[in-house]
Amino acid sequence: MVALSAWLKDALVATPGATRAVVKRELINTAREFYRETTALREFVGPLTVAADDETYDMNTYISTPSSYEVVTVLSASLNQIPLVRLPDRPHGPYSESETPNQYFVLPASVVNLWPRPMSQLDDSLTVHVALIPKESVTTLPDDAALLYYDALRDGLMGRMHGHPTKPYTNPILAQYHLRRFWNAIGKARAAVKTADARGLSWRFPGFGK
Amino acid sequence: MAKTWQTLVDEAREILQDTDSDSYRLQDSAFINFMNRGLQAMATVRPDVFWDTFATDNIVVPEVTDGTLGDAFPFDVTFYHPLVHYVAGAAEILDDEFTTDGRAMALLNTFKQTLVSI
Repeated sequence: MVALSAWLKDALVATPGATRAVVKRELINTAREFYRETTALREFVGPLTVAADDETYDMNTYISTPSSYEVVTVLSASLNQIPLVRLPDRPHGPYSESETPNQYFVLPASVVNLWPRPMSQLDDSLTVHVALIPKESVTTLPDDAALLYYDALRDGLMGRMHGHPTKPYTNPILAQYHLRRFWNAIGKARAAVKTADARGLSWRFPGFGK
Repeated sequence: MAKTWQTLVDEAREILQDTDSDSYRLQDSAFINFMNRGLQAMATVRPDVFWDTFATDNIVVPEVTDGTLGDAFPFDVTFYHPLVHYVAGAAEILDDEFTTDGRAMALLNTFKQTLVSI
């Protein structure tokens, strides 16, 4: 975990006359936006025991550090290592029951609802892949925030600060410059997360063409 | 030495050359009123200074009284000297002489300029 002070100290140079609590708040907002847009902070939850007649599981109660992070979206789920099909919404009609639910929907953002409802208990069967964002009260960020995304978060912070009106550090041109870099970094990070950051050539000449 | 509301009054008195405690031209009560007006003016121009006082749905602008003059200045020290300038400028306005009008406006302008620019 890396302390917020790393970014706050760098921000001193460019934000004369700023209220430091405001800088910290904007840094946290920047981190939340970054991780929400990129889903770069991920965690596997489980395997959880599925209780009989209980179809709802709030992932916020199962993540490893609920005091610092919260679930922003569920990426995938599996039951006994078999992937569950994600439904866009709750199906119409009353709940039916099944020995092995094969679908799920997410409502609200952190709650996995199995469909149909499980009839019996399934020990250590449910595994869920979730994306996290830092909470508003967070005092540290994940290690990769400093290792991989330091400049991105710094650009986001500077862009937000320079965009404040009638302040000694107000600078709309610099705000646009930093925000453009921030959004570009979000795009790159999102792509890197999707491809597991495999930067090498992944395409190979098909065998039938040789 | 930590800054307090009393040190703010004392530094404004230095600008006004009103440091003879045996015969102050202006009493502390006048300076307290100036400080409170200055805090309200600061809240208008820079509400973020009062970030940590936010409660329910608005900031809470502190009010200095006789009994709280000894309390520590609760905000970042970078907002201390603008308030000194405001208090000194507001006190200058009370004086009715032509030569002090320029100083009064200069000090009050310095207060606002320092809050919104470098």
